[in-house]
Amino acid sequence: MTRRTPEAVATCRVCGQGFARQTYLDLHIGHEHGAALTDAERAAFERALAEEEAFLGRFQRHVRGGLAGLPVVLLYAFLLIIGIAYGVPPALPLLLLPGVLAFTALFYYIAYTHEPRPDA
Amino acid sequence: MRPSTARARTQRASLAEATVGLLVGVLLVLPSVGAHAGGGLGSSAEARVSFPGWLVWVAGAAIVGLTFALVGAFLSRPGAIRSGGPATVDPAPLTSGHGIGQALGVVLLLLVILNGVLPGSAGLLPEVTVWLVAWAGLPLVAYLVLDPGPHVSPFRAIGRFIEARRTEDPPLAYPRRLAAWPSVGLLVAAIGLEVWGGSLRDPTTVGRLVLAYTGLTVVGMAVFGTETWLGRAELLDRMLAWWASLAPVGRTEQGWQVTWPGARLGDLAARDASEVAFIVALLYGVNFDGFLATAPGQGVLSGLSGLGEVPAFAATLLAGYGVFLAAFWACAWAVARMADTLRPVGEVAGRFALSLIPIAAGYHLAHDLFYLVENLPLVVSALGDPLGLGWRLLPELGAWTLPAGWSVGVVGAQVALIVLGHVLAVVAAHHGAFGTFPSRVQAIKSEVPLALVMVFYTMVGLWIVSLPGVGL
Repeated sequence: MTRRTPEAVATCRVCGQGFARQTYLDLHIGHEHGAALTDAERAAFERALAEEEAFLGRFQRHVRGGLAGLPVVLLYAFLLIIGIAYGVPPALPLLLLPGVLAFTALFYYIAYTHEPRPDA
Repeated sequence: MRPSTARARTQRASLAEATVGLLVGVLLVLPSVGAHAGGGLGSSAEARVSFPGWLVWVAGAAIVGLTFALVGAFLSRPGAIRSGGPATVDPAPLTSGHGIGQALGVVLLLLVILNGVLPGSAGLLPEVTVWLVAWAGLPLVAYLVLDPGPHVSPFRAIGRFIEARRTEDPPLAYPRRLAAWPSVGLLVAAIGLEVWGGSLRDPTTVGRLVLAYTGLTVVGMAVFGTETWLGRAELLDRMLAWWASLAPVGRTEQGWQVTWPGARLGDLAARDASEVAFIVALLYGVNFDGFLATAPGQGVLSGLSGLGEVPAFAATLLAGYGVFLAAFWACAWAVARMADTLRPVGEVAGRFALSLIPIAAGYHLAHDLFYLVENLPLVVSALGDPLGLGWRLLPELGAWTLPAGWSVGVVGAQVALIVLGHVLAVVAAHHGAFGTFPSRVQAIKSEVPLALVMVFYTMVGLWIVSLPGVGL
């Protein structure tokens, strides 16, 4: 299927598909036409994969941070619901809030900056 | 670039990691959801549940959001990008069916039609066959196990009969522009008939409607060719084929294939706007009665009441469907924008429409599994008196004694099923995105609008379940 749209920044030399960014083309050629790669294309593919890894690494760190903070939030939510059920004054849960936020942020930070052991 | 064995190993490791993460997440939150969902119910079977609303909605939405984060973070190795175009959901070949099942289907079809034609019949068979078996039971089999269409559809048997006697090509070519729109129209009409209920459920009316539908199908198959009609217009076959895209057992050229539920969704696509509309209608069908129970639904219905009862109902039905369609297309447009892709919105929509099927199946299962179990004795009494003439061919089962705590369990299970449907949908959208775009960054960004809509939709769905008078 050949598609040449005016906005296409890069067009695949094998199948003619257009892409909005050069990186997407580099990845497309590497994934779809791996057997026909030139050395330059192979280098570009590896570079594009590394760029992706950097983005995904940051994303993964944020998710790990969120997961680390989650137990604190859940514990607080649990206490809050119990508190509401037993009719404690609303100031009491509010009093806990700064500590809870601080602990969540601390856990998030620790998990975010943690270096996992490199893949075997 | 094929992944090396080392990479394949880490991929497997990450899959295990993500599965464990997902399970922990679900286990953490689900029990609390179930427990709270059952909270206000007591032991009365008739009571509607009063959820501590926000708690359940927030928990459900959190699980769906968490799924997006976990799947994006831990299932995004380079090997997750899949090349090759998507497959379409085509009807199974005519020869693949099962003769005995189809023969039974034909007998049942004839009995239902006889009910419509014979004067004074008052049996349960038409209603049970159409609404309990074909509308509730068969889809359940389709998305939980495999597509039962080829094995039980009487229309396939009729089609085989027509094709065997055909000596030349079908007289007319199916108009391309019609696409799958006939099946969409039939599905929306069926949704309307189901929710309208009432006088439309009496055996004579159902029998005559089935007779009319059979006539339409026979003419369609004779004029345009059986394969074409089954693939584009025949409601039962199309509906079951789409439900079965979620099924763990599927048939490929290589033979039977067993996968995880929903594992094939990421490699499938709707061919055109009409098939997208069909999938949206499947989702709409399991939500329409719930929508009617909400204040906006009631507002629309009473606002249109000046038109007369039937037109107001039809207008509400179509307006709600229009809203669903518009919402989905807006979402598809947002997906294409986020992904920074040159692919047309229609293609993106065709790819991501498949992720609506687990949601629809979640609602359908929540709705119809319990309806089916509670009404199973009706099947026996309907078969015992197939023509409604007061026969007793089978022993009467009497009423079903449901186990104690049944209704509490049902509500908990319904909440869990709705959330599970959305979780599967997020996973399916992830796989669809990784089969569509060359870049993983593109793929993950493209999932964001869909994930947001699903988080929102989970909340709406759980809110609707908690409303009084919802037929769930």
